[in-house]
Amino acid sequence: MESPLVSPKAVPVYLGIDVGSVTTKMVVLAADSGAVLDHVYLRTNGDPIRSIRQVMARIEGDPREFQVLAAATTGSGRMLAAKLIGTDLVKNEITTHTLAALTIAPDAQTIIEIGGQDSKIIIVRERMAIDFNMNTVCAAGTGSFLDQQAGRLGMRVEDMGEMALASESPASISGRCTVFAETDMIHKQQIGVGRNDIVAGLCQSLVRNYLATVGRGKQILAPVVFQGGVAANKGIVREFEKQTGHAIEVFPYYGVAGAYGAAIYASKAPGERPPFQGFELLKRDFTVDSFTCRKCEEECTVLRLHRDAKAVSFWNDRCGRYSEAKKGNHDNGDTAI
Amino acid sequence: MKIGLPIELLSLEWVRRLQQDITQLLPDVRFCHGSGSARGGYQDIPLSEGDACFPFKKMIRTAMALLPEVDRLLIPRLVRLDGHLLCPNFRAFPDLVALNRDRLAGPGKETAIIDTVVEISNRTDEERVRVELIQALLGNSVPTFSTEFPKPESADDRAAKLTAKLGPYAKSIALIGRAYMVQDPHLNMGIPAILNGQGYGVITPQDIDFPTLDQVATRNDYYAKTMYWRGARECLGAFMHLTEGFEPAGIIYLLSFNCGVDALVRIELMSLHKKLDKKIPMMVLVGDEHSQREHVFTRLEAFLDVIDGITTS
Repeated sequence: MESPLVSPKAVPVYLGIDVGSVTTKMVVLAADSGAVLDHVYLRTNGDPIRSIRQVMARIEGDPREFQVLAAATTGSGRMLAAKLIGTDLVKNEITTHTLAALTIAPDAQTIIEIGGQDSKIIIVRERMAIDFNMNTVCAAGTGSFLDQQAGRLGMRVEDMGEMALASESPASISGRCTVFAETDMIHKQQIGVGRNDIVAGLCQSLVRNYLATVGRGKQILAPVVFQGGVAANKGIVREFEKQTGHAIEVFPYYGVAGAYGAAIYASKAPGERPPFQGFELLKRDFTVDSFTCRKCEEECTVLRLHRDAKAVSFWNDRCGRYSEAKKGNHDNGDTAI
Repeated sequence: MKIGLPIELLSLEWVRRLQQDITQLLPDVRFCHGSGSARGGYQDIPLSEGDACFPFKKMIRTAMALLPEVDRLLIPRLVRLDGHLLCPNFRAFPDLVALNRDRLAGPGKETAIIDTVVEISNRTDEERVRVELIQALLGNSVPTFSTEFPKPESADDRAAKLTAKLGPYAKSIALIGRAYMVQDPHLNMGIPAILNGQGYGVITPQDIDFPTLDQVATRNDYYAKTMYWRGARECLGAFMHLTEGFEPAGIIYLLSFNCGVDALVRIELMSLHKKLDKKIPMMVLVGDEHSQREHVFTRLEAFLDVIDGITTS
């Protein structure tokens, strides 16, 4: 592999990228100090390739001339991101969020994370994660639901927190299910309940739902760290404090905590890393498509990455027929369709 | 004669032994099991399945797909094994298959369904049921056959098998769940294979003989919480037995969905887990809550990270 030319002024960094269902996050970590040199939080808008390309363009265009020593990806789009930037450092969101929280708050005992469609709780004791839970099919209480309701109420999601704090009498909203919550909200609007009270009631119900489902059976002990985009909502933070009885700590970089954890993970990867190839994404045409393999009854949906219209990588096949085939010896999938 | 026996039923040890015995007694019999992929000829046809879990619905589809291919469909009405009740869906299984067979004017409409009632608490019951089943299968042409059936596998044989199974792995995970969940890759979402691929051996309740598990589970029988469902006793006994003797690196409780019995087992296992002296990471996975394999993989990867210790140092 050809080593790219490195400017003597270049700043050695580690890179973490978190491709979530709603947003894409990136953190650049100084290799020497571990300081965050840059971070990005942008909407994925259903096009992760474009959002990752935006991230790469930002890093490449930074006047500080970053030299990426290693990069790691996380989030639901982590495999795709890893293929696009050419790294084998891929980690689940639980682990990266734990790494982020324990770096900022080494004594943390509980980590709450609520993102676009995921919510998690991680239980930490003596600086080690010992238990966790994630939401499953139900996205009640996550950022995308708040987005949706903000749109319906004709407000910006960013303003919801302040509105909730201004309420003195939160409306009673069902927290069991987003469909019921929405029905309740419409009803409250129809009978003339104020928007602040509706928003506060929504925050209350979402926290109740989180604690009853994601947090079910978990012992929440302080210090409690709150990460993910929803931590920006002060109404939700207040409700967590009320309903758990603990102070909730929201640290800087809460919105990019997954990417921050991924960068930390990259910094700890053992051995020498191959030269970073992520900027290829800006110079060549990358597309992804999929096909259903019918070689067996599993019928895997195999994902296929094309570089300049040529299939270069496969994943998501259970048996490894495509992903583990020797380079240049790929069945391009046509015979399997 | 071709006999259809849905592959899902083979997760029950008793059914596997029954098949062996029939094959031994009647060498001309050939068994067909179906692919069990739930993608058979009835994939897009709405069937009457009752308010059942996915494993049960899948079993109905496998049985329906077998009907046109076989001379007899063997789906015993399983009520009780080893003295303990099976999920009530098992006893309704032949009725639902017959209902769908008669409702749909498809091939296999004439195939006979053998639905002998199975209620076994002891050796005498077992021999009686097998004779009844074989008679039902063969109709009037019953040959003379011995009722001397081979003895079941001994606890020692099973322990030796388990040792061999775990041999290649330094660590193991206890994967606790009903037999059909743990053994069917379409239902368990490939979890055993994923764990093996990550270097972990997998111990299941079915690796241990049921009488041992039953005896251990008895210690937890009290007041209203006596587990009288066989599958529940198997899971409860396995949890207690494995955490006392094997010390797995982690425990996964795998269930299809929170039906009454499995919800109760879940609470019991979580309660027992909290009382363990040595903290072993435990995770509950509910099949119905994961439509994508990637979601399962994410949780497994994180679970193994917890076992290995997520730390910033």
